[in-house]
Amino acid sequence: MTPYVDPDVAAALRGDFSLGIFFRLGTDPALHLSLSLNDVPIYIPGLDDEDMVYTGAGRLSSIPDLEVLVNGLADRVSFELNGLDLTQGDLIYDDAPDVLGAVVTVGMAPLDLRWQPTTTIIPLWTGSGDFVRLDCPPEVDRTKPRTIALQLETSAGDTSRMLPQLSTYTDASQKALYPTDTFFSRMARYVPGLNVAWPRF
Amino acid sequence: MPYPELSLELLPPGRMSAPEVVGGTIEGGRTLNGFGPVADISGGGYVTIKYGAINIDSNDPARYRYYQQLAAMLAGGRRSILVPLLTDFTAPLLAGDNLLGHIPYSDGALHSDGSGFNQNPIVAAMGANAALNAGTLSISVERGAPLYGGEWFEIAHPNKSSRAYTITDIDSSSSVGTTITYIVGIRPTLREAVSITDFVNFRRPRCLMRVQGRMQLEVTPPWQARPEITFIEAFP
Repeated sequence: MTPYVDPDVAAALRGDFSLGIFFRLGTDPALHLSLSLNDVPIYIPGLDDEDMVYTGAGRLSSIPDLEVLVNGLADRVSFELNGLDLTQGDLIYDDAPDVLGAVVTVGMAPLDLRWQPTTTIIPLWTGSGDFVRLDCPPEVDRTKPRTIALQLETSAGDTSRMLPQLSTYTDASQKALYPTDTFFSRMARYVPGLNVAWPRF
Repeated sequence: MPYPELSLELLPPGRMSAPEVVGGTIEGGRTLNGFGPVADISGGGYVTIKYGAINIDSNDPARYRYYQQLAAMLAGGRRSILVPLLTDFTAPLLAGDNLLGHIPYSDGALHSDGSGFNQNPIVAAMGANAALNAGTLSISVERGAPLYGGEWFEIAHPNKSSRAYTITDIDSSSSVGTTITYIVGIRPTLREAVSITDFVNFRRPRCLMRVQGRMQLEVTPPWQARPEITFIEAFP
């Protein structure tokens, strides 16, 4: 079996390295951003065409702690694009594609000494888009310009804030759909955290 | 709309921070040995230059006016401008050549105002096609001194305008007649794909840049100022 991450790449990542971080939002058409300043011709195998170019978005102000993201500690992440002026922001906001449920992929590719990606993008984190919001906090310091940020809220798993979440299945809801089904009839006994003893026969 | 070009004749800098490629690095924290591992996610960085102690004196309102025009036009970075990088000192110039090209007639005569013909004394072109974001280029120097690394050059891209690059490594060189073709590493990486025979300009390369911060003019009587402008590479 071929390893997911090439051993040479893994070795390269152990020391000092330069890293290309790539962001893909699976709207239609998809959004491809590279966190470097320059446009990078690279692709995610299986998701993109091979001649894809990721647009340089070094102006993206922050990527949330990637480690937290990748190690699964963060449920929800917001990506932020800073330094827009109000007109641009309005334009993007008005014309924003429907991001709800769009697949968000964050991946990386180590770069060699000449800044060339040594692999295709290795996807690290997958989530789904929730909503886009425009943030324009008032700036009290008059020497500083007012900043506008466009944020994309994303979530992993079932932590979406846009859809009602069923916290638990109830016997009543199941009976409403399937009147004769008694599968959940003893649900009340199983509270979270209760260790149910496995029956012995 | 073509980009305007900064005139160093009207704003002669008395001091500069030489052009530099700046990238964003993230340090991995302090280790027991005291130094930390470094990660770079900028993918090559961007070009920056700072011109300081610009000589605006009281006997020439043109400079003063030009500075104010520039400050209003560039609007704190909203608009971009082609900035010539003062790298004359390290340009690969053949001995006896004049960088600014005051070339006389064959009998040595100059024009009546004392100027000669203006021609780029360094003739260089791309030796091979290169893709977007390439870090290694092939440059053919037809006329000029050998390249050693550290030189700056400009490539005029059709879409991304003129961009400046610096040579980080000389991988190899081969010569055909008097033309020497170098395989060089560059930084930052190529902003747009280039084709073979595209012109490479080593004479005072220009880069599309925008100002960083304000262009405040502190004036002392009588109408003297020594302003400072920081330019960073523009990504329109």
